[in-house]
Amino acid sequence: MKYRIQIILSFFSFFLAIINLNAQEKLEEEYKVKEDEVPAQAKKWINETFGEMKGIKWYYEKSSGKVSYEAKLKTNNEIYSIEFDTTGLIEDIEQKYDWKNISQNTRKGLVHYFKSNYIKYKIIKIQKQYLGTPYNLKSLIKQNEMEGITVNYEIEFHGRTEKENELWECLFNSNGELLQKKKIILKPSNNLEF
Amino acid sequence: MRLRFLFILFFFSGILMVQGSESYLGIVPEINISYKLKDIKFNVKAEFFQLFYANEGELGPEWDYQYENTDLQFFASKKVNPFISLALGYQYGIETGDKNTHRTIQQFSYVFRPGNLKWGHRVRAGQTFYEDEPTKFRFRYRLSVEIPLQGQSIDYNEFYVIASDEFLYAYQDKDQEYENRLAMYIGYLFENNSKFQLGIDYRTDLSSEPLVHNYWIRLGYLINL
Repeated sequence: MKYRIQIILSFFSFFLAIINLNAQEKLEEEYKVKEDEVPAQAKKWINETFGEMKGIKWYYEKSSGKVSYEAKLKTNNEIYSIEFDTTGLIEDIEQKYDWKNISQNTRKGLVHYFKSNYIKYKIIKIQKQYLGTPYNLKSLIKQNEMEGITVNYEIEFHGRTEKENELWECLFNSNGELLQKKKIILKPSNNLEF
Repeated sequence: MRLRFLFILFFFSGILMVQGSESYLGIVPEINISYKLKDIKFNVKAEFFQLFYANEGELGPEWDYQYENTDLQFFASKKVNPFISLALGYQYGIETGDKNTHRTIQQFSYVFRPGNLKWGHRVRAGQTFYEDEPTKFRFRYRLSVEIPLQGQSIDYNEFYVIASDEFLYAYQDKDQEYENRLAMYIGYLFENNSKFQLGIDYRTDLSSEPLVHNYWIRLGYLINL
């Protein structure tokens, strides 16, 4: 009897986990931090990669329990968000990106995803994400060297299905295949509406 | 930088007050409750207007408490997409001295967030019905901006600033009225999604001669159930 309950419970929690995977919510909390609060290794990587720079904004971010530091900077007309873990090890680089600059192959995959999942959709923001070792990511910025780099796309959009009309943040690989889907929950705007 | 610009704007609006010869100062506590039921969001708002200072030109300044009016508003709104909402509303105005009023309201609102700021466009039409006066038709447009003070977005337990400007046009029979409402508040977002806001709502009646300036100190508590 006891085992049966345990089996039912574990089946139930597995089922809940699946639901949860399908409708993961983006819960993010961040605030600005001063440069001297940022791990030294992170600052060192930025300095070695971009050179002496002014106007870098640093943020402390908590996203679904994960803590990180994020640097926002603009150089050569490109906007970068660079994420580091709490020890200062680089996790990824995100670059603001235009739809028209995405390769044809990726776009084909993305359009296929959007058209087969939504009646109507509108892209709001695209970021190209680069993953790799600190060394590879440094070579990417400095020499445009793509070796050892994985490219993904983080796309924020609103998509309408028959059941819902929500705001989403999805991560796609370079073939335009979905890797991760999060629902963006906006904070209430009743002070702007009423 | 953004804040400095807004403070300068307010400073100049203060100069305008000196030039005009009629001005009033009052306080407006406000409670605003939103409740979502399936696709429809219901909003109930109560505002209590109380005056305590008047400067009517020749009579000179006078400090005197006077209860003005209470507005009770009810809205039902539906989202067209995550950013655009359409709403229908009704307002019951409880007037001291005058007869109470009924108002029907139609509203279009568009909230967008390029970068770190959240902007809101609001277009409203309203028809106010009086017992012994012709119906007054009002059209108004408001632009608001919500500015996070700690980081890139407003998270729980954080402060923000909200600034807005609204232009109102009204006609009643053959009379026309114009009004501008400039407002700035400091706000705080609590973990239960409620917000507390404190600030000033500066209203200029542009169609009166001389100009009339109303300064309302507003204290608002906005609840999301």
